[in-house]
Amino acid sequence: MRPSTRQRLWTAVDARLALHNFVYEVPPYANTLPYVLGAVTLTGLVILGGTGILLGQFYAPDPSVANQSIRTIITQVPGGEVIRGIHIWAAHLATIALLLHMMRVYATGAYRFPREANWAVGVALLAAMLALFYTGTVLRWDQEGIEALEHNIAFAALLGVFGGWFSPAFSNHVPLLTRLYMAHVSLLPLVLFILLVAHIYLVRQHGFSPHLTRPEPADAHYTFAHHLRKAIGCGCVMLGVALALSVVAPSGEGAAPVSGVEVTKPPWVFLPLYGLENLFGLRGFWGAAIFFLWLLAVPILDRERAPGWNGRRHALVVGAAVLAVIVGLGLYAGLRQPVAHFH
Amino acid sequence: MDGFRDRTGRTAAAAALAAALVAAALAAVPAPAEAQPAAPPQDALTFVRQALAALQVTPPDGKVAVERVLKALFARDTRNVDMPRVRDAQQALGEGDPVSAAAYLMRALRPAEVPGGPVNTALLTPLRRRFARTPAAYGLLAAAALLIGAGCLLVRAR
Repeated sequence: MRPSTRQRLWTAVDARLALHNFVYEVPPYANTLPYVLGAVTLTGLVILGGTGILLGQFYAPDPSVANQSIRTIITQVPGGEVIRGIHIWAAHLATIALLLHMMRVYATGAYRFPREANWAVGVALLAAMLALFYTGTVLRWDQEGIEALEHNIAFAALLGVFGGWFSPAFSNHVPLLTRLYMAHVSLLPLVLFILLVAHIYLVRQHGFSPHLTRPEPADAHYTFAHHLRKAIGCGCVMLGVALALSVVAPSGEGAAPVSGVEVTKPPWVFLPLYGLENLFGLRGFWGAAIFFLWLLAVPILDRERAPGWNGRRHALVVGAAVLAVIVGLGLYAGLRQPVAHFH
Repeated sequence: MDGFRDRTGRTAAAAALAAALVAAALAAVPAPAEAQPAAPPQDALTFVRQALAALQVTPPDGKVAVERVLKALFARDTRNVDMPRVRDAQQALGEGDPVSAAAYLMRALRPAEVPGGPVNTALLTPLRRRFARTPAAYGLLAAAALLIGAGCLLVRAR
């Protein structure tokens, strides 16, 4: 029988791009929502990259005109308000997906041998994602943005000799806002891309982590193409939700900022750190360093080898305790009035 | 195998600990003097803008606003600020009226439209946006619904 046009097209493309490497078998549970969250985050990053490139054409990363340029994007650039709204909401949604993905990996112990290195890459991806969130907050160049920038400067002093790059003195003739913009649009995306390639490569090498309890059925054959289709489906949902939110709850822009006063709170993702800062001052920043060191050490600290959920008891108790502290700090900071830390 | 992994784990933990100690020791070295934030300006214009920023957050921070208005009133450099309006703002804050206080503070600033005016007052008002009940907005919502529907179909497809 003569192959169909579709089959011939696939053969022609595959011969050149070796796409069959991505049609490897994946277990059925890999297509359930908890196991698709990583790919959902990836689709969120694609949305962020696309909308970010469009916004970059109209944003002026100079303190004297940045706030005005955002107002211009909102009020004069055709579709600018919606694109900016999608960018902002997709950042929130992708961060939520990433945090849920990490929680799933932690809860199921998917970081255990031989996936410790990939867990470390994932932790670095989380740090890069948070750095992107942070620099994006500064780029808004409203009161919240400048207060985030002032924290950046204070953080530079706290880091001692490591703080050079973060301080305005590193490059006196280029505003810090401009340098953080560079980090947001080139440095951090490059780091994120390299880490993502490593992450996906290691997932491909090690395969999906085994399910804790569910035995793999012998007759169910799913490939990575199924997994990718689910992820694209979730990505469409994310784009749709971000679009709807950008229309129903548009972001607007705050007043042009003034330095020397602290009257705002950071976005939700930084509230736990803000809570630590409320309690311990700037030294509270070290709490984030301890948290990330703990994340990196998780595969070393977890010595349990028992199969199933029985082997997860201690790790789950520790994880729940850490989550409770983080949520508690976030609530503590979120429910209080803004606190001045250095003015 | 487990023994090998235990040894590897201990080595990795020791290396991580050593790296953390070195990083902590280096971080303890004070930053260069120029890395410290510069002293903030002490002029009335800056204090009025700070008070305005405190009143524009939700909920308005009256305590910070009062403090900055008082600093503005006692500032030596009162260029480009209409001080009687600042006193009006102080009175409005005393009466617990942050909206009027913000309006007085805005009027106290010499706008950029006036020759020599240092502040673009148009940028000092937050640009608040709401759901525009226009055909385009409803069209975008329909597109969002289509995207969500298509996504659900892809997720549910076997």
